[in-house]
Amino acid sequence: MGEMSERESDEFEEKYFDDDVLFGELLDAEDRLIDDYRRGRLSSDERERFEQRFLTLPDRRREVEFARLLAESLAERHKADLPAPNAEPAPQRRPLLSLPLFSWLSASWPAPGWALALIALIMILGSTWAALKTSRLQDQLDQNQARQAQQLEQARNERASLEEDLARLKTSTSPAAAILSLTLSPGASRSSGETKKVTPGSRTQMIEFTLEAGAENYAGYQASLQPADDENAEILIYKRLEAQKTGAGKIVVIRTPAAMLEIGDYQIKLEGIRPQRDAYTIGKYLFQVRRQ
Amino acid sequence: MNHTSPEKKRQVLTHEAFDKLLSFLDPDRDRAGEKYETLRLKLTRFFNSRACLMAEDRADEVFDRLTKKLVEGEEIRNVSGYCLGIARLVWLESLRGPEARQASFDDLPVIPLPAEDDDERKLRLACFNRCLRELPEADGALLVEYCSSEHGSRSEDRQEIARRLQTPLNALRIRVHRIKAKFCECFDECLARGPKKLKYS
Repeated sequence: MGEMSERESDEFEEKYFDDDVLFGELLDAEDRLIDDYRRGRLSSDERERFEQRFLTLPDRRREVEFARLLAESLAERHKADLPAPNAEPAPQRRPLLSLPLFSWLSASWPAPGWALALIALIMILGSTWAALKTSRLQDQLDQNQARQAQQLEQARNERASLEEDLARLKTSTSPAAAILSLTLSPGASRSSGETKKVTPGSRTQMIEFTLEAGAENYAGYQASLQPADDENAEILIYKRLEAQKTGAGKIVVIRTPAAMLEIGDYQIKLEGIRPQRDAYTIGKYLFQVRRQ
Repeated sequence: MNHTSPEKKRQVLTHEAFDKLLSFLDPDRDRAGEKYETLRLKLTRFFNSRACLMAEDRADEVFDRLTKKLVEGEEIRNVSGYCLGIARLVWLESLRGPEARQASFDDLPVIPLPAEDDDERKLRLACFNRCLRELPEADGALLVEYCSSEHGSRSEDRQEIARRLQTPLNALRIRVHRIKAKFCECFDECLARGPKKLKYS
């Protein structure tokens, strides 16, 4: 979590590159850290550092999400008293028909034989009905599975076709800059037509937003990227930002991987952190993403 | 996560070059594949630890350069150390490119996981369960067992699994890694069929 010095980090890398056992222990330790995060065992400072290192990179974020989803999946199953996925089926009970029926009839039980015969008959009829119902359910299950397999095959074909289209588009579009820059001012409204647009191309890797942050001084800055029509949703969070001084006032620069922004309208909410640690909204910066 | 298998990586290296790389790693094809994947994991971890968004691509570049050296006839005694050296060089070179403007974790935005009652979270859980069921039975069971062992005894549990399967621990890790790769492909497909959601870069 960034606690080692550069030299310690370099030395450790040399060790785990040479030693598979040590590398395995490192991976186990990372899994334990992810587990601690998921269970809320990290201090707030550790949590923040964890999020900055594990929820910013797609690979690592996926590991965290996998751990969380697995825990939820298992918890659901425990609640419903279902077996774990792909568990072995419960052992089958002996069918009633295999039990020695006639031995019951001939046994010297305190109850009359005819009562026992009736009970046995009811049980036989019941098990036959259950077997028929199971057979019908099995047929339905087989049909559903066949339908699902067909749908999966269809989805695979659709995906293959989409991938071909995407490959064709990639080769036919004109090259675009790796980084697109956009300067935004707070307060533009969608209805006024003042909203700036950004059109990333297939080769655009990063979009850099320069936010005019006014003249006020703050201890720090943070920003969140939101859909333009939903202030409560947060797509991305930027923490520990710093302002740069320019002739026209302060600016805050944030960068977003282009692939994270689909076509749509967005806003960036910029907040200044005051010495008392509370956040003050400096402004909301609207922009639109359109594709080439 | 782009858990790419050795077979998919052949699209980056030529078939011949990839064969040469595997033969260099080990005369036994299976063990060579395992060593390749272990090295790939180490390289992606190296680049991830440097806040590199394209860790898999950088790892490919390291393998490209390593293979080129092998084809040129260079004698390499310690392939792991050699790869680390190339990786550091690739990283330093990348600092001259667009990634130079994002060289630390502090420059990257945190992408929060979906909230508890979020519809997206429900969709993702549904896809998770579905894809787990679609794995071959033994693979799914192994993945669950390997990944869900209790916090304190995780290393011991994994060693026990390796002992039970009569396989070295590292081979077990690689096997789980491959199963997870298949799972992730299914997961991504499932999500893609859902409503408009966040995309990973």
